Amino acid sequence: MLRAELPEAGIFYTEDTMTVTRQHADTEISELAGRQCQSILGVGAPTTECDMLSLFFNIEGIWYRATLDVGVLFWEPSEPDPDTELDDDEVFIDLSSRISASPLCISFIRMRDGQLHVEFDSSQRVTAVENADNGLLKVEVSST
Amino acid sequence: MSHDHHSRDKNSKQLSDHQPDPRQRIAAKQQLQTRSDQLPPQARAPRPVALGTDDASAATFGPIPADLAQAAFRPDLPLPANVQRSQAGSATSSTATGPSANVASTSTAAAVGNDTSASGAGNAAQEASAEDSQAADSAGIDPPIGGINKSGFIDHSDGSNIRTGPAEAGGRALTAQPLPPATRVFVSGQHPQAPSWWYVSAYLPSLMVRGYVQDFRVNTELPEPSAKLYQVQPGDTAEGLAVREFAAAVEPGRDLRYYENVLLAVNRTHGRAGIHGTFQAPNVLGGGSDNIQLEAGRRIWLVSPTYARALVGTVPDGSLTGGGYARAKASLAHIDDLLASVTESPAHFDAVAGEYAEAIRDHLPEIIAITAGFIAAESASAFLAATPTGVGQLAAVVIQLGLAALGAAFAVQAAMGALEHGKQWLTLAWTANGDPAKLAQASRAFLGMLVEIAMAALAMLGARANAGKGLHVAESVKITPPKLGWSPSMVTPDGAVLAGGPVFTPGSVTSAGAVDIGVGVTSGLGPAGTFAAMSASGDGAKSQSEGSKSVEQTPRTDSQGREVASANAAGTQELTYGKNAMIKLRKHAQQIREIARRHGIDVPKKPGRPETFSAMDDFLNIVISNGTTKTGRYMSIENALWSKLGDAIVIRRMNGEFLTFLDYAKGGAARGWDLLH
Repeated sequence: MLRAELPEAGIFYTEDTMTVTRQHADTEISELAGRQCQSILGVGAPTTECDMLSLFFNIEGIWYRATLDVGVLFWEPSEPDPDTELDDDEVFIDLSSRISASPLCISFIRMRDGQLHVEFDSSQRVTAVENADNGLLKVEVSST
Repeated sequence: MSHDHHSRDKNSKQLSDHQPDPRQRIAAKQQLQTRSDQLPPQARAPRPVALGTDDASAATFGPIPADLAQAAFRPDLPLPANVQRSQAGSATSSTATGPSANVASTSTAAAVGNDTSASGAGNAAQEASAEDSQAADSAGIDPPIGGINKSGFIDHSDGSNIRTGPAEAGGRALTAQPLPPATRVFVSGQHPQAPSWWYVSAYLPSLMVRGYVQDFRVNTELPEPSAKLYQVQPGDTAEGLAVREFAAAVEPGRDLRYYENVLLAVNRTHGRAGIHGTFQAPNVLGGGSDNIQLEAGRRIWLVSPTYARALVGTVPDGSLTGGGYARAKASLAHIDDLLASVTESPAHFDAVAGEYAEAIRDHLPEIIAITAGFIAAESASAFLAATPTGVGQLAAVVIQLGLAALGAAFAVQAAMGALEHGKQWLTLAWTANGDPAKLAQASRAFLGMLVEIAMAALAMLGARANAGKGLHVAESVKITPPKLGWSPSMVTPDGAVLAGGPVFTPGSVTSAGAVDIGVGVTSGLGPAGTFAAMSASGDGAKSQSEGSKSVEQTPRTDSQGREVASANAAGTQELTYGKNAMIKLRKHAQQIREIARRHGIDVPKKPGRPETFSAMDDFLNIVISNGTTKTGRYMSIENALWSKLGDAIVIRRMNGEFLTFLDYAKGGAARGWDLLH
C-alpha cells in the first residue's frame, strides 16, 4: 500500500497485522469498532482505584497503549512491558475484571473534549480524563 | 552512535574535563522531580547491563506473558514477586546472557585483582589474582566484560580514540590518531568499572585493533547486518555511489535509479540527513536523474546489494514497512546466523572441557570481538561470495586470525586440527537458517576450533603447563582479507589459450602492536571510512601527546554529525519541567525512545530512573537546539514554542516549560506544525 493512500489518521498495514495509531484531540477509532477487546490494564499504584498513567487494551491479540496529554489522545500499538511501563511502586491493574462480560465487543472508541471514551456493546464503558493536578488519568469503568 | 545512559553515569564523569558536565544540568532539573528524589541510592547507581537484550524485543506484539498476566489480573498480589521475576527473566533469558555473565564474572574478578594489587595490598591470594589478571592481558588492555555483541560504526565527526581502558583511568590511546568516523567496529563488551567505555575490535582496511571507545561514539543500529556507514565526500553523487556499490547488481527492470531510491529510503527511515530529495522514477528514461542529493560531511548508510534487492516492491514508495524490512533482513540471515554462532558460543562451554577450555574462556570476549568483527567486516564480500571450497579457505583465515591474536601466527601447521572444526562451524552456521539446534552445533564447532587454536598457540609458546596464563591477546592484528577474483585468459608456451577462471587468494594475518593512523580524522576518508595512509608498527605505543586535545574533550554530536549545543543556544529558552515532569515524560517515553534511536540516541527502558530521564532530557534538548522552532498555539496554550527535528516535535510554553512531545509522522496534532510560520 502506498503511503499516499493511507488515511491521515495513520493506519499502517503490514503483511498480516493491522495496527492503529492516533495522536489526536478529536477522533474516533472506527477501525477497531466491532472488534473484541480481550483485556484492559491500567498502570498505577497497587492501591489506586482510578489514577493511572496509561491504559492498555488487548484487541484481538494486539496490545494498544493509550494515554492523554494536554487534551490529546496518544494511542499506539505497544505491549504492557513492565520494564518500560512500570515504576518501582506501580503495577498493571486489571480493569477488565471490573466488567462482567468477556470478551468485550467494542462499540466505539472516541476522543472528544479531553475525554477518552471506550464503549462496549454491553453498554459498559471505560472513560479517562486528565487530572490537571497530578498529570495522571482519572479512569472510570461504568455502565451506561 | 549511542548516547546511552552509561555515558552519564559516575564512571564517565571525567570524559570531558573542559565542558560543563551535562549531568549537573540534569541533576538540577531532577531536583524538581520529587519522585526522582525518592529513589533509593542504589537506583542512582549505573544500571546493570541488560546482557543480550535490546529494546527491539519490546516491540513485538502478542499475548501478555503468563507471569505478567498473573500480576495484572491479581492486583492484590504482591507486585514485586511477579513483576520482578519477569524483569529478571527478561534480563537473563537469552541463551547468550548466562554464559556471558560467567565470563563477565571472571573478567571482573581479574580486574578487581588488578586494582587490589595496584593499591598495595599484598597478601598471597591478591598477588596471585593480580598475576592472573596480568597474564590475562599483557598487552595492557583491561579485560572486558562480555555480552554486548553488536556490529557498529564510529558515528561521530571527531572519530574516536581507542584506548587500553577509560581515559579517566589513565587508559592510553592505542593509535596516534583517533579512529576515523565511519570506522567499522564490533562491540563485544564493556569496561568492568566504566560501562560507558565499550570494548570493541575496530576494523580498518588492513588492520584490526581492539580496545575501549566511548559508547556514544558508536552506532550499533545498522539497517541490516551488511550495511556500512559512509562519510559523504565533496563531489559524491547518489548516482556515483549507486554505481560503486550496486553496479554489479543492475539487471533489466532494476537499474541504478532503483538503487539510488534504496539509499534514499533506507537513510530517510533511519533519520540520516546526508541524503535527501525525491525518489527517482525507475521506469522513466531521461530527465529527473538528479532528484536525490548528497550532503558532504554527513554520514549515510550504504546497504548491501542483497538487501537492496530484497526491498523490491517497497522502494521507491518510500514506505519501508516492517514487512519490507523483515523480508530484506531475512535475505541476510546467513550473516546473522554466523555472528550468532560466535557470540552465543559461551552458552556451549559445557561441551568443551579441560585446561584449554579455561584458556579460551578467559579470552573469549576478546576472541569473539576479533572473530565477529572480522565476519561483520567481510560479510558483504568474502563471506557472501564464499563457494564450497571457499569455506575451507575462510576457515583457515579465521584460524590464522585466532593464532595471530594469540601471538602464535606461525603455528598454522600445528593448528591444522582446527581446520575441520572451522569448516564445520562455517558450514553449519551458513546453513542453519535460524535453527537453534544447528546454531548450537555451529557454536560448539567454533569452540572446538578455538581449543585447537589454543593448543597450537600454547604449544608454540611453550606454555602448555600454564594454560591460563600462557595466552596473550595482541593489541592489533594486521589482516589481508581473502579475495575472490577472476584470472585472465592465458596462452601457454605451446600456443594453447586457457580461459580465465575464479581465483581465491588466501588472506594473511599477523599480530601487531600499537598502530599509527597517519591521517587526520576528517580528511581523506574514502568509502566506508577507509583512508589512505595507515601503517602498523610494533614499536610500542604512540599515544597522543599529553598536551593535545583529546577526542573525549570534543563535543557530542548527533547521528548527523551536528554538534549537540546547549539548550540556551540560538536564543531558545532552556527546557524546564513542571511539577508533573516525570509523569509527562513517561507518557511519551516510547515515542521519544523510538525517535531518539533514529538519531542514534539510546533511551533506557526503565521509567522513573534518573538515567532514563537524563537520556530523554538530552534528546529533547537536541531537538530544541538543532531543530527548527516556531511559535504558535497548541491546544489551549497560546504562543507555545514548537521545535521540530525530523519527526520529533517538542512543544514548550513560552517560559521553556515542557508541554508535550509529538511524532510528526503520526499526524493529528503534530500537523499543527504545518500551519505555523
